[in-house]
Amino acid sequence: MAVASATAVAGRGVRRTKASAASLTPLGRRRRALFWPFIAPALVLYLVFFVGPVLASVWVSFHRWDGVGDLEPRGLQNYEILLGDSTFIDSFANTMLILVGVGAATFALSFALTMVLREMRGRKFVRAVLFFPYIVSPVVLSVLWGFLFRSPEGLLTTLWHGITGSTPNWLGDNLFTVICIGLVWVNTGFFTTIIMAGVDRIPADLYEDSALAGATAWQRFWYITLPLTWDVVATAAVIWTISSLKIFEFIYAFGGTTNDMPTVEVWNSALFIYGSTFGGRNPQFQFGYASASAVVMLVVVGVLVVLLRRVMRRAQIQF
Amino acid sequence: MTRTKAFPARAAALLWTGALVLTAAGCGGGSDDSSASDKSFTYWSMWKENEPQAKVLAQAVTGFERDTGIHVEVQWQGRDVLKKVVPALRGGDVPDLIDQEQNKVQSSLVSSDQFRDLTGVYGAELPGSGRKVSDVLDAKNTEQLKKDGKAFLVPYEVIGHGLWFNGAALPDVVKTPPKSWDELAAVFAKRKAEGRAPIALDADIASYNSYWTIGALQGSLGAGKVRDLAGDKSGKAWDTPEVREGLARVKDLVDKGYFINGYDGSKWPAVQEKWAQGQADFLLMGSWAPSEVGGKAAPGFQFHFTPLPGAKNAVPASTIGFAIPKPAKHAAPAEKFIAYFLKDENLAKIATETGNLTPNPALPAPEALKGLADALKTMPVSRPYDGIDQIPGYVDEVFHPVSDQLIKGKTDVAGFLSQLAEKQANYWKKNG
Repeated sequence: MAVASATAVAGRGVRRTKASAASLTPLGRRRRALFWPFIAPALVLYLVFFVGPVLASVWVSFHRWDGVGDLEPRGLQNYEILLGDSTFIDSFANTMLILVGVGAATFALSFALTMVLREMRGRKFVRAVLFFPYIVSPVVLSVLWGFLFRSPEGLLTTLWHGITGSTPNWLGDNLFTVICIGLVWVNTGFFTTIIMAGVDRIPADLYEDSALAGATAWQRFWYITLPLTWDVVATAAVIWTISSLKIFEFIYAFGGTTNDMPTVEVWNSALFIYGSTFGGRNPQFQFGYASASAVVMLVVVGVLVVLLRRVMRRAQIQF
Repeated sequence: MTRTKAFPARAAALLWTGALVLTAAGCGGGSDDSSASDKSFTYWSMWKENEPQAKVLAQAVTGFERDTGIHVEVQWQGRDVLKKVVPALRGGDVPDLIDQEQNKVQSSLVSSDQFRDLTGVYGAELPGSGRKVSDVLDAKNTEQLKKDGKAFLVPYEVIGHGLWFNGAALPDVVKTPPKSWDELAAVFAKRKAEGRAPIALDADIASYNSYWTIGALQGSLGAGKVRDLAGDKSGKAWDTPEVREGLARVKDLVDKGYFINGYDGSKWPAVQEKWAQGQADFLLMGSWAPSEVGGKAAPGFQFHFTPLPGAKNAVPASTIGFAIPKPAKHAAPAEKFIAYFLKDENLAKIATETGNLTPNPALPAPEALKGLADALKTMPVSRPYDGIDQIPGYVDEVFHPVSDQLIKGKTDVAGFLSQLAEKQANYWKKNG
């Protein structure tokens, strides 16, 4: 997201500079003189640390490479194998499940909390509490979740047993579901904070007016909150799309052990890339193959972000 | 105008500062040329500084520096040491000495032919003893440590695998250990009938589950055969009566409820601690088990060992030892240190201070590991996991997921074989 916004800002900067330079006003000339000194450091760093490695990954993806020996050209073979690799396809499916399923749940919950918190006393404190899981290390959280969900003596399992009389095997039978619930829990605070920032900008009299007109809570949400926060939601959706594809530590720490990767059943594409390179007892060091999967994911992210921005494009409402 | 002119100069200064910072950062990892002589070498260890083995090694390093004047630059890297060595091989700034378990060294340094032949170390004299290194090491442990006649590892610790139990609670098993799988199953059945949980297992650790599946298969097929099957490109070679028999035995343990309640929903080390507290009878584990659970063991717990029985019986064992990467610049002093560490006064501490077995059979074994030491002397040795963990990524992508399902009762023998065939064919398609 930082990358996307940086590009957008740079683009706007170029247009503005050209326009003002054409007018040749003193301000325009000064702006033009300042353009490159401002842009160059960021551009150099961006090219060296982002664009360079991406291009290198694309290059490596056409080779077989163990990271030590010479690169052995493979053409498109890595991509052909990748599309038939059941481990990759399953990891990709899990990634999409997290993107859509966890994303939908996180946004629904964030909106619901926003609605509740909007009129609540001490909401800043509650917001801070909700944000807390997002800043705690995922490794710590996953250890905590292990204590909660282990069976039969986990805290939550014991509580569940007390209420329902049954002892579910959370980690044995539903590991991926528990991971998804954990991800919703971790991310809800972050997105609630972003959406609340958007909601806070909405003038209170709009709500008062609609309440006087007899609008229900749902109608207030549908006709006021959602349209007036749409640009914030669209940005948050892009943030989630990009960050969800990179989720790694929570799954790794929750499903994995001291020596082993988590079971392949819970791998997402980030874990697949790690598993193909450095992960596991005896790493595969397949840098060419892993680069191919990284390139595929980069293309997927790109396409999804473009589609999402098109789908969520709306005329901006001034208020 | 003045401001407009001044800014590029400032910006240039900023850019220079940035460039200098980056250059300095880039130079930070460079090696120090003053250490180019053989008066020092770098050692990256698989242990973390607070572990007992690290303490023993650190004592030896101090003694070595005092006796030889050679400085040892030690970095306690931890278990991922080889993951750091492999990229270093590319960069050229490699450590002069590393240590790790033999299978891991074999699948990284040896498979990429980046190891130094340590035959010279085996022929070297143990300082001040008049004996050669090869004289004190058990050939049973060292014969697996060669590739094309070149030695890639000099061991200092031996790890054996088998069933651990409390001798005080199971005196009959101490007196007459089970010699066949049927005898073992009879012990389990008897204990289950008495209301006990016969087997402890932390099933969230996939490799612990595979100790059972691979252990049963090694017993049915013989040592080395599981490794052969894992190399089959189609994955269909597994479907034989012997494999089905071995897997059916494991499935039987699951079906009869011999594993302790909650074994498949716990988080390590919950179940092995329950075992140490006497809530279950047997733990199939490596020889680190007694020292790992030592503090949690119930009063009077007597650690005893018996091999996992099978028709073609062997004790899975491997070693931890020293290796030297091929591009190491100070291999000679590193080799000297290896020989120095194998002196009795140093090596004995692996037994006395870390509670592990040494590769020198003349040194006394820790009390808890006496049974294992005897088994290693009298029985043939096989490789843990039968060596399939040497195939990079194979256990993670192919064997563990299927083995987990069998142990957790989510599939049967036929399901195991069909899933394994599919995953194995997929694996070899991309790794072949």
